[in-house]
Order: sequence, then C-alpha cells, then structure tokens
Amino acid sequence: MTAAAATAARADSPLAEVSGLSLDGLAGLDLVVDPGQILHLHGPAEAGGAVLRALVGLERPLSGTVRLFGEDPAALPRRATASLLSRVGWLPHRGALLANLTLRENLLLPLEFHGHGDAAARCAAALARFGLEEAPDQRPEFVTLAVRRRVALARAVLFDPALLLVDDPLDDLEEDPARALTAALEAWAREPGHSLLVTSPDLALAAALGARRLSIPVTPA
Amino acid sequence: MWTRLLSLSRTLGTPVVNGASYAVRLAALIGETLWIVLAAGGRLRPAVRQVFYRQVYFTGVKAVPFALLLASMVALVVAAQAPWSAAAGGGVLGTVLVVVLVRELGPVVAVTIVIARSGTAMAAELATMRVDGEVDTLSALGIDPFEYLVVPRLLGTAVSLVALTIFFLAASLGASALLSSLLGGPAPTDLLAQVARALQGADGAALVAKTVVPGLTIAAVACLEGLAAWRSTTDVPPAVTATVVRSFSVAFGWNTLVSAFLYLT
Repeated sequence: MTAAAATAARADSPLAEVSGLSLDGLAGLDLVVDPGQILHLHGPAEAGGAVLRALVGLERPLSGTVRLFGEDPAALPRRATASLLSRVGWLPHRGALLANLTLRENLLLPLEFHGHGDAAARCAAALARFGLEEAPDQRPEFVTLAVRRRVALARAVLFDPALLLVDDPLDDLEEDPARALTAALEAWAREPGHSLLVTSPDLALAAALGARRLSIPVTPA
Repeated sequence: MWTRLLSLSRTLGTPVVNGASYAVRLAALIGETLWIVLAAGGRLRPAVRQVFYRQVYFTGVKAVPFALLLASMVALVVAAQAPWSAAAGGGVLGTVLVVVLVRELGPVVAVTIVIARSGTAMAAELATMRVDGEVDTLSALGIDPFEYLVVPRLLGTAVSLVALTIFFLAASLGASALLSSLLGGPAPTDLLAQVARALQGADGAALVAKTVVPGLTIAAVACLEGLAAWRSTTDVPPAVTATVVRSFSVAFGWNTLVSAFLYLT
C-alpha cells in the first residue's frame, strides 16, 4: 500500500474542507475534497490561487474555516505546519521552482530536507516518470515553460501525497504541452488513494480531467 | 506649549519606538537561529549545510580579492607614515597600527565589504524568491523557510565576516610591514613585533564582538527586508536600500558601542 493509500485509508474524513471562506475578492466558499475525488475550482486565477494558499495556511481567511486532514494549518506551530504540509502535493501557479537550483536539485531538495535515504533513486524515478531525463542539470530559466511545469508536477507528487493542490496549471502553455500535462495530472489523479483539487479559469480542463466542478463565489469589484 | 511638547514627543518618539521594535525583531531572528542550531546539537540538515557552504563561499571566499585590494591601499597609507615614524623614534608605528587598524578600521572595512557585496545580494535574492512564490512553495513542500533560508545565511555571514576580518588584518599588516621597510620605516619583523607587543587580550574579544554580532545582524537585516517583499518586483529595490541603510546603522552603531566600552573600561 502506498503512503497516499495508507493516508486515505486511515481517514474517512475529508482531506480538505472549507466552510464559509472569505478572502479578498471572494466570499462564502464551501468545498469538500473526499478521498479519490477530482475537484475543479472554477474562477479567476487569482481567486483560485488564494483558496489554495488559504488551504495550506499561506493566506489568512477574512472569515470562515479551513481544514486540511482535519487541521487548520494556519493555527499550527511552524514546525507542525511543515509536517502537515509534507502530506500534501502543491503545484503553485507557474511552478515556482527555485531559480538557483538545477531541475534535479529542485527535486532532491524536499527529499533531502526530510531525510529520505533513497533521495537519488526517488529523484531519478520522478525524472523518468515525467520524461525529464534529458535536461535535469539545467537551471529553470534555461528550459521551456512546459518542462518547468512538468518538474513542478514531479516535485509536487514526490512523496505520493493523498491530496494534490494545483493552481492554474495550463496558464501560458501551448496546446501540446497543455494536453500532455493534463494527461499526466489525470493519470496521477486516477491512481488509487489520490485526490486532486485544481483551480483554473479553463473549463475544458475540468472536462478533460473528468472533474466535479465548483465555481468560486467572486465578490463584485 | 503642551501642543508643542506633544508634537516634539511624537516627532522624537516615533523613530525611537520604531527603532526599538526593529531591534527586537532582529534579536528575535538571531535568537531563533541560535536556538535552532543549539536544539539540533550544532548539526544542520545536509540541505541546510549546502546553503551555509554556499553563503560562506560567496560572502567569504569570493570577497578575498576585494579585501586584498583594500588591504593593499591601507598598507600604502601606512607606509606613507614610515618616515614620520622613523623621525619619532620608530617605535610608534606598531601601536598606531593596533589602535587604528586592528581595533577600528579592520572590522569596519570587513563589515563594509560584507554589506556591499552580500547584504545587498541576500536581500535582492530573498525578495525575488518571495515575489516569485518560491518561499511559499518551500512552506507548501513542508520545508521550513526559516530553517532553510534564514539560519544558514546568518551563520554563513557571521563565520565569513570573522574570517574576512582576520584575513584583511593579516594582509594589511603584512603589506604595511613590507612597504614601510622600503620607505625607511622599521624592518618588517620589527614592525610586526611592535604590533604583537601593542596587542592586548581584550583586542581578541573586541574583534569577536565586532565581527560575530555584525555578521549575524547584517544577514538578519537582509532576511527581514528581503522576506518582507510582497507580490511585486518593485518591492525588491526598496528591500536592498533598506538593507544597506539599516545594516550600516546597526553594525556601525554596535562597533561604536564596543569601542566605547573598551576605552571606558
């Protein structure tokens, strides 16, 4: 049983739960991500990103509650938050790879930081899984946006998380790379014990992923 | 009358309160760094050690040529005093070097090099990382940004500043001894012996105080300012400017305090 499946099996409760969430630009969002679910959060890119940031405790809600694996990440001590978030995959808007590290080092960093003895092997497996064997020692600025996005996805699923949070993954991608990334996301999400919460203004992505759709209640400007 | 007094107290009070609040934040940052290192028994995680080594390389090793250049210039100035020293009996140059160079100028020059090269770079790098979402990504990956970004920078800068100061002093004293002898001053070994005689035990403690604390402080200021950047690249230049101004203020202020303490006691 994978770590993700074990996590999912342990918890019948929702992986993520948001109730009456208000942030700058949105008000009254309710959502639940259950084990095995693919949920597409539809709305402006900034609003979707803000919801995901609130879910991982990076943004304080104006009101409402946020629960990740039953805990409020913003209310935990810093170290406990770090431990909680190591169970969640996170693909931020535009990938946000560390610019001063190579692609391989970007993958190795979380493995080494959390003390995985088989870091090199896991990194090599992740590079192979996402077709990244050719340029792993380049820095992010020297590879295409499509490659950066694939590396960010590979990094997000390194620990085989039960829940993957993805912020507007197809933004600025051309058609072929977008299709390939969508396929990679869907393949990952269809594996047992995996759940996916993706935000995007692109409804076609929801259809391609076969996701349940939910609109973000945006407040009028 | 009361209105004027109130206005004066506001004018004077606000900067004092802001300054005190900033000092508390710096102290908290440094204190937490030391606490993390102590709690880990001095053993940093390998990934954090890599950042520490990179910081030492950039702040210490790569600053060597610049420190050497400044040391040569200082040596030229010292050598120009050789004829005066000879006329005064030849025994004072060593004392002057200890009082001016070892106690005051050495740490000040090293602090200036570190602020100019590393404080600015650190603030710009961290501000850019913040704006590009890299810091948030670290958090979301379960990597504590404080441990990964702040701790190794503070330690690396402090270690580098100590080493750079010692290197600068050794280079400037050595070059001063050589050049002075060429211009009619004492022989190099005589001048270095004068320096050794003029040194006191407190000079070593003062050197540590004038390098370790500013090293930690410069990096703490750069981290505070850099990580305070928010969502736009326009936040980066103000972070760098604030780092330079505040680092100089804090480091020079601290060195003045240490010197005053030494001379008064």
